[in-house]
Amino acid sequence: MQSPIIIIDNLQFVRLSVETGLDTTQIMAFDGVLIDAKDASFVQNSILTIRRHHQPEVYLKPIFLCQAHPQAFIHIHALSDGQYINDKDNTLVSSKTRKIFQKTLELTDTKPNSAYGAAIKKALDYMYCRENRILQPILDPFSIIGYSFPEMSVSFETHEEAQILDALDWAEKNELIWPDFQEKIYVCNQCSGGLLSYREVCPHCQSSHTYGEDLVHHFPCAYIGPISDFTNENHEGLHCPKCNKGVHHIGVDYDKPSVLFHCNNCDTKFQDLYVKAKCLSCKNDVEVQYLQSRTINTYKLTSKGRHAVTKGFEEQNISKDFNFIERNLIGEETFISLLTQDCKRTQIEERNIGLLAIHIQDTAVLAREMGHYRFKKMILELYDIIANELNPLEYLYLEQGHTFFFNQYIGSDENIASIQASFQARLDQLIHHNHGGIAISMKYQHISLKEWKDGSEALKKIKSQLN
Amino acid sequence: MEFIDEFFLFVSSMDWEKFFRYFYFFVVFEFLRFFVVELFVLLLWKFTHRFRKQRWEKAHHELWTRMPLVSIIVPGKNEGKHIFKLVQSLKEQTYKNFELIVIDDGSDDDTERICRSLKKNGMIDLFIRNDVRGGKASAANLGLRFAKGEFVVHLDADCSYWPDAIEKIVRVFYFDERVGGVGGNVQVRNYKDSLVSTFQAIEYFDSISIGRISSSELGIYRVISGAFGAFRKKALDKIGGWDIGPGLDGDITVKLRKIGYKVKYEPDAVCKTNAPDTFRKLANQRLRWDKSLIRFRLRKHLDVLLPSKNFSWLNFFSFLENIVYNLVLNFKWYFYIIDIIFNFTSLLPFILLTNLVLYTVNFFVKFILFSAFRLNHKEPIAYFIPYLPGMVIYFGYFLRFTRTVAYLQEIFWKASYKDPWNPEKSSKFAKAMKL
Repeated sequence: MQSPIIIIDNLQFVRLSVETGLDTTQIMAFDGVLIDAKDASFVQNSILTIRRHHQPEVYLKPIFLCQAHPQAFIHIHALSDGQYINDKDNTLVSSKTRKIFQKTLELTDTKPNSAYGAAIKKALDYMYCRENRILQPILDPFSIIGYSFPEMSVSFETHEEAQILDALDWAEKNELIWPDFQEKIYVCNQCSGGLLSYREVCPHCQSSHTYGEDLVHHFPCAYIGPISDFTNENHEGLHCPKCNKGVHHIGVDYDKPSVLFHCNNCDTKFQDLYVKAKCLSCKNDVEVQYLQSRTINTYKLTSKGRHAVTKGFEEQNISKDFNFIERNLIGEETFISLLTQDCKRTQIEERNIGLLAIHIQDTAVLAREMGHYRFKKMILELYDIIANELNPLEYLYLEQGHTFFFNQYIGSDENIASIQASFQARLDQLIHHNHGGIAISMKYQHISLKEWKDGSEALKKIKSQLN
Repeated sequence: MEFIDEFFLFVSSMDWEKFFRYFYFFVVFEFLRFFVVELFVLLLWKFTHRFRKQRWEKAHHELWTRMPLVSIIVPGKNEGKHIFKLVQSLKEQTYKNFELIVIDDGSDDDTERICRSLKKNGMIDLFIRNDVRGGKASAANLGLRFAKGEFVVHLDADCSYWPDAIEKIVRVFYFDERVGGVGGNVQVRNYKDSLVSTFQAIEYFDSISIGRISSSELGIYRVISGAFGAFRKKALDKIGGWDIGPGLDGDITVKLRKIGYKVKYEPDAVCKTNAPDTFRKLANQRLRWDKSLIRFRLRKHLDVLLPSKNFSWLNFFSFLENIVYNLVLNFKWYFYIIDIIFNFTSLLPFILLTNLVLYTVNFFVKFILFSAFRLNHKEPIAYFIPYLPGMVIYFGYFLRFTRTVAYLQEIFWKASYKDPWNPEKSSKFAKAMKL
């Protein structure tokens, strides 16, 4: 058995094989990873496990392959740094590893608050450490949108691939990356899936059980009808049913001015076949004009992007931009203005109104562990639970998918503590019931609005208490 | 003043013999046929109406009991701008059991877009577009091919219809089972637009609204108007639908008559159409229409005048009347003028003036008298009275000269086969096959 540790040009590499398996905690101690296995699935899984890790010390680690693998395993080639077949590759491997290491030292240890922030940061870090590598889309039949961005895909489940485009759009809008057009694709307007089955259907009953026939116009007698009218058992070729003459030369004695379709399902005739796309992911059947158009680009790191990975980047408004947009939740601005009204109400009407905050900690890690889809579902479940508890005068704001803020009409200051305890009990129950086995830690805070004149000040205060 | 004195002297010195000699054309061919005979038939029609009342009520009852599906076919090119109004007009119909089939014969405007949208909204039952123009006959035949109704109504897209028009026109089929086709009452909608459209409104009133009552009663009704005509579907299937035009309305009527069906006119089924608003446009339209007399009566369907196993006296008289009054007398008029010029040169101005007076008086009396036979007395009559003197020029000269040109063009050059109204690809076959 070969030694699992290999020294190349004073750099320590760990050699992974089917026999040794993969232990990500060990990897941190090495300068790089060599994967020596014929089994492409093992190699791909090892690479994905490393690149999916939430710690930069792991996911940025240089990986070299000791054996050649089929191109079909796109992640193997896209997420490894080269080959190490024999000693001739020593120089290349060591210089690449050193360069990556040098670049890694320049990174800042920002911890994004949201799962999407974490995914983008991870991809940008990776691009930066690989000599400003270009984020390249790869045709991938297993991807829900038909394309993979391997550096981003590692942070998402396969069925969430469409959300990568949202994340990249956000990064592009914030000038962290620069796009270069590759392709325009159409995705499902419901689930953003790109695996669509296009069908021509009847405009009346949407059935694809249709057939089309050419219409034939016989010039001499002005008869016009489906081509089947012109065929019969007694004559070869076409024969006009009106004047009983043979129809021989297209353009001379007849033409085909159009096509008529017949639906076998509802027995209607029509010319305007509808083209519909059936989403293979969510079964949504939609007319093509309602499909969502998305652009597939390659992306380069911009100077702002490089600055962001080395000095830290702002991830404000990520949630507003794409995270929970479909739920039409109230935005920060609206929340603050409502809060300001309540602050005034406490002064004028002497009403006792409290502001509560529930913060879910380490959402980036949680999202990674749970998968983005499940994580998002959980957040929305929490949102619904809280929203259902509120009366018509109370309102809820979700910030960046990790903190809930809402007002509460309370009798006395003491009441707010019991209200908070009640929420805490209900949410714990939900998490235990629906997401048992996952450690979710939540932080609760409350303040009274009567101390504040302005909603934004109150919000700032409670946020500071959360931190 | 001297001329007027002489004119009065001419009139007062004229006895009946001289009057007939000078104005025989007016007396025999205009007054007798188009005034006396028509008045007689109209009176007969009016007074026998009460005897038919019960039969009409039975027909009405039967129509509403059976509620047959009526297929309304609207063939046309570049008619998109009229289709919405037409659909609206049809929505108001008292008879609702119809399917609307619109055929777009290779339009190059936004007809297709408009019709597809109307179809999507359920306002058209079947819309078929032919990318390549095939001519009106082929478009109508395409509609006929997919018509499911027991009766087929052929409409022009630029017309509008009275709310009971479909009911009234279909009812005739239940009045007499031998009826294969019914023509509607086509009136001019834009009669106030110009002098020429006003003249046409008077002409339509005279020759269609009233004139066709008498020709229908006499059994010699010969043109079911394409703007509004209804047919028994099985009769249309038997004759193979429409043949290549121009003049396909008259042609299909003859074809129906030839296989033994009756054709009727229904004055109560009213359709309004836009008439040409300039003399040039009108002349072009009439040149096209008038050529069909030569093409269809004298060429394609000449067998109607000859003995055969399908010979019918009624068809024979219908043809003969058409040929005599429209073709022979048209040329005879020139002989009459030459006769007057050469034989009564000195009296020429007086004869012409008297002719003018006779025709004008005839028009006035006929128009006022015949308007009593109108079914809808709300129609404007007073509006047209100031224009009646002009009808002598319109009828006697403008239409006569146009007709003469059309006949000569068709007799000597078969010009109807070159008419761009029909695509050349079909016309050349029609010419070769003498259709």
